[in-house]
Amino acid sequence: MAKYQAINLLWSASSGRYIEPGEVIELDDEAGRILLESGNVKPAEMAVEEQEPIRRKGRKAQESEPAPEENLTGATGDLNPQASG
Amino acid sequence: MTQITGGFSASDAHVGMSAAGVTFVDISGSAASVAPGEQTRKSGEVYTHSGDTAIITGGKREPLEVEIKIVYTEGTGDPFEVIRAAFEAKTPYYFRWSPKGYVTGAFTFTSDAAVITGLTYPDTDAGTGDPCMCAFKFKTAKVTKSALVT
Repeated sequence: MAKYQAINLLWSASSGRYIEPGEVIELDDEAGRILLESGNVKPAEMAVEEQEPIRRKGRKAQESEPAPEENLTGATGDLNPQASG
Repeated sequence: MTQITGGFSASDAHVGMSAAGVTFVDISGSAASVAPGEQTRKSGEVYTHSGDTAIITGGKREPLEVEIKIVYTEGTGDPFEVIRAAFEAKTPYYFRWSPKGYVTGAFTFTSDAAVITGLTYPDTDAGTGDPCMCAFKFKTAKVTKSALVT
């Protein structure tokens, strides 16, 4: 399976709808090859995903951060201690 | 010009019809021929005192009629019965045909929701052994060309 961008109007029999030019679709290898050769699709441009820089946390910093569970639930682990009493 | 090589016979064409234009029922096993009429565009012309030829302008595309011949059979869900009922009830249908067949990449021509404008009831002829045939015509505002992804 690979992603392609429609150049011409396509009809998807599986979804029962038109695929407009410019729309990105996923095709199996055989269908992709046929439609590529006939000029109906082109390989979809890979979107460059922005990645956040990986920050290494020092041991000290990890220790100083409170555990999120404790802040939310308190010692009982109950989300709503008032309601449970 | 070099002779073209992409020609093919349309004997294995695909023909389908659909009530909503989403899921098309294959009627290729019943349809024997699809004969689209010419679609024309309105045009006008005027001659002016200057110049030797007319000024020609183009208007809207006119509707077209397509005739499909089908084998006459008498099953409840067979094309003849479905078409006959749609004709009598004025129920619109979408029609499509793919000259190259139902294969990925083949061009398919799809009507808009079309009115069935004519129904030819089954004919008989004692002098032939041919299957009994019938036909219908539908009128559509346009035909949309797309490539099939099966």
